[in-house]
Amino acid sequence: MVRRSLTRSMSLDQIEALFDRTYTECKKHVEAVIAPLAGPNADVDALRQETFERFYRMLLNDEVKDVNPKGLLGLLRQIASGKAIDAFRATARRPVDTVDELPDASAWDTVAKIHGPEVAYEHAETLRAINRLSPELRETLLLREYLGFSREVTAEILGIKRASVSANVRRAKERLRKQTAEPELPHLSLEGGTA
Amino acid sequence: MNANDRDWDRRLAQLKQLDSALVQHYQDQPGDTARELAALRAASAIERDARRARAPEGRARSCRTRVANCILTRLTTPDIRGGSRRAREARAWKRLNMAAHTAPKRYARRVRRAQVWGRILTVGFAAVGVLGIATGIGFLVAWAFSGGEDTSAGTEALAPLIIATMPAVIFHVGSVIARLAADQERRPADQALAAITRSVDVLLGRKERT
Repeated sequence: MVRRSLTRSMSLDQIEALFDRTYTECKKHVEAVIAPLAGPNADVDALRQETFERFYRMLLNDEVKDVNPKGLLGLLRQIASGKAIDAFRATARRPVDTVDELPDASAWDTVAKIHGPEVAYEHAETLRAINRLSPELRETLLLREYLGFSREVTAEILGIKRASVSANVRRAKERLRKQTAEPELPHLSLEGGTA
Repeated sequence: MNANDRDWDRRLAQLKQLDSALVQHYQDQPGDTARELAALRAASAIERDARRARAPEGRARSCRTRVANCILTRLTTPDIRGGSRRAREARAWKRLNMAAHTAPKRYARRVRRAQVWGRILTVGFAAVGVLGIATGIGFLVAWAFSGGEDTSAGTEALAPLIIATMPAVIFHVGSVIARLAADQERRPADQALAAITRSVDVLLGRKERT
């Protein structure tokens, strides 16, 4: 502990100042990561708190290499997605209906204000369909398509192979297409008509 | 939405829009950042205190998480929960009170259970000890009445005495070890709980930070 504090690149005051600044700036981004990933039964406040606690411990242990704002946001998004996935898996084990969009229903008001009600409705439908997928497919799809993480980062967060990431995304898209495929209309014959 | 709009590649490509809208949503509901930071600091302090007090890892974490989550729920405005603001406040208070009171009660129950078992063992060992001592004294009296001539009675008297003292010695050593173990078990938990209670009191303004 003594050695660690001696070799720490920042003083405690600097760490606290950096932490406060990062919290204020990145809080909303972290919540936006957690909300769709953790599922409708999640406690976003608690997960956000756990994410920042982990971040604080990393700062204290001098595990954070890149302290520029973009790097810190990337790190926080990774921690938050890991925490959200853990929370989703924990709630998925309980017999509750997880097929809903977001834990915060009022978020759709903002989406509707910004992108229009039709887009908000479409996003809600998309998320509901994604929530019907199996946890592996759902998580891979959201990390790749919603958060835009690279294959490497997604594989690292989920603890799977890179090839499995691509395969999971492909499978998830196939399932989504199948889920929402419209039944074909019966063929109408026009026999017996007059020429 | 008609069937032609169900184009999943397009939908998934548009999903990134949701992120920016959610960021905006949470920006519009900033909450009380200063208080949230205070709760985070308290949570870290609780964890540090619990670790310093050598509380078992799992217990320290569960205590800290439960209490810190309650503090956070209490301190931040939980706008995303259902029900009226008053109902939300009442729920948060209930959770906080439960967390603050159930944990010490649980430890007290464990200690009480250990005490009951300790008492049963004490009575058992004591009964064996008393029986052994009584037998030993009986042989000694028999030896004394025989005028010390019956040497076999004397040797027979020593064996039960040894047998009688053995359980007492085992009982004593056992009880000392058990008490030490109980202290080791109880002290870190007590210290961790004291730290948690102190932090909760400070955060809720019931006590000034000393």
